[in-house]
Amino acid sequence: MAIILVPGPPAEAFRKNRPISDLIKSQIRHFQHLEHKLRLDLPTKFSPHDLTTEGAASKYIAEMTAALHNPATAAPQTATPIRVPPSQRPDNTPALRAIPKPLRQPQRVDIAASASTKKPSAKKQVPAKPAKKKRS
Amino acid sequence: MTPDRSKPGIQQLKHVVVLMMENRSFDHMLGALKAQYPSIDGLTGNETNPDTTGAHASVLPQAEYQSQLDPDPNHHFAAVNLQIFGDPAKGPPLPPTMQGFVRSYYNQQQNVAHSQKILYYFTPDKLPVLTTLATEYAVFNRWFASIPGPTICNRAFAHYGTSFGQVSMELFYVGKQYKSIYDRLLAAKHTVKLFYYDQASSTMEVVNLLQNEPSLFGTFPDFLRACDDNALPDYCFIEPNYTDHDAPDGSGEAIACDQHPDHDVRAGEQFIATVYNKIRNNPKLWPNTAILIVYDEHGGIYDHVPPPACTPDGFVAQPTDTGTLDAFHFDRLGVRVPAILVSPWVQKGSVINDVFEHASIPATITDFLIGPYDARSPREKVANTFLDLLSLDAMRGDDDCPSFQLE
Repeated sequence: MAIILVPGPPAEAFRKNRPISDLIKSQIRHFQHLEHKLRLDLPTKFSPHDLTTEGAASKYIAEMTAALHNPATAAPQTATPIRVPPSQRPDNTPALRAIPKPLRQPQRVDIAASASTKKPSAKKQVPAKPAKKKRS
Repeated sequence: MTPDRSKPGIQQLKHVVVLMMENRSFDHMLGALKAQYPSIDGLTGNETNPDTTGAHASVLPQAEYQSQLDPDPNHHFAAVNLQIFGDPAKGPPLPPTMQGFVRSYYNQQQNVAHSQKILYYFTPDKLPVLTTLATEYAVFNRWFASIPGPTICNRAFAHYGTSFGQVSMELFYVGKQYKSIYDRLLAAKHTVKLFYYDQASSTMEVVNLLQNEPSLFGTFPDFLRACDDNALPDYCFIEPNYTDHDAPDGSGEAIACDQHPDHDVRAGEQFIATVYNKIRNNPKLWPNTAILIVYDEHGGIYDHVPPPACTPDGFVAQPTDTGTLDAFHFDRLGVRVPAILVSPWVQKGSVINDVFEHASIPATITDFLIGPYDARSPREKVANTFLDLLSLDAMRGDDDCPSFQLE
């Protein structure tokens, strides 16, 4: 059987500045859902407003995909504790008040998906309610 | 139908590869084949749709590779209602006349001439890969999208046999009652992989599978390497490139090959040919691999076959989710899509008239690789399976199976 030739697209068919379709918008929404849920800190700071073309969206998608594959590349965001330098003056306050309160550590969030205990809000599927009858 | 395991093609079968493309209807891609192959339920050329002036626009063989279906035709649930039933707010008991495609597309640009392009279809010479495979192997006359709606809920049926009640892209929750085909296979000690094109294109299965089981995924180069190394998993699901982007590895431009409008259809043709050639030209894979090429949904593009009723899914989508006046009980299918089964054990020129949908994918793989398995959606339990098509008693020879060369 003869070999069948398959034409390829011309160079101008490549349009990375094409606005993203509804499909890619949805894909981004799904990634953003995980980015926020898992508090991922991507190497690049993406503004959602910039993810309007296929080329720009794909950079965000690539970083999110890499982060989900390798959580170490996108460690969870943690608040840096504010440390107050010790006062130079002698502390004259009564002993009772000098007892330091335990420092509240920022809560760590495991980014391994399987370790996450928080479920996305589930849309409960319920049987359709019968339409209310209009009063005549 | 459950395959006859005494058949040599089934006895040798080790790998099933599913390639799911994007957003093209059966008639748009394969409808022209009817002229040469009357058993293929394509177009006569007399099909019409009314436009907004009341005139009847005809199907025409004038589909172009790119720049014709821009903007992307609406294929959300309500728009598909309009396309099938002629009313965006209502479905059954209205008859599925398939007369609302032009009016649906008109709604996006209010341009009568442009709206008629939704009826355009490709001639076979413009799609040498898809039409050759359709006529050389088995083409399905009745493979429908699982839902009259968009991509992500339809793709879910290929992974889970259900969309867990979703008719939109907002599939953020996956019920625990039905495992994905991948989890089922892993539990049964089979090897599986989802291959997305690259990390910049990634997957549409973000919130569940990629988040929770990233090791399930590989890239398209990984797939090609697995073929070369004769290390193909038992079950492979391939996703095409969804965007035009610079390759993350700096290797150049990666053009979208999913065929989603307005991506160039030729890139998808070459992508399908690459998958096919890689297996076809490997004598250690070709005898024991079946390839299913299927499209996720019709993308708002015209098809003339009314979608049939089906077994309800057990879920209900409320009117707020469907965007119509009606709740949806998952009791009818979406618009027909191209689907082709490739194997040297398939009779040349097979045309299949049984009804299939995407739940047929996990149904087939589960039946073949696992056997009886009860924890499946009602839709998957009754879905037709397709490996019985590997029915030849002797494998087709090299001279009887086409090869492609990319230009």
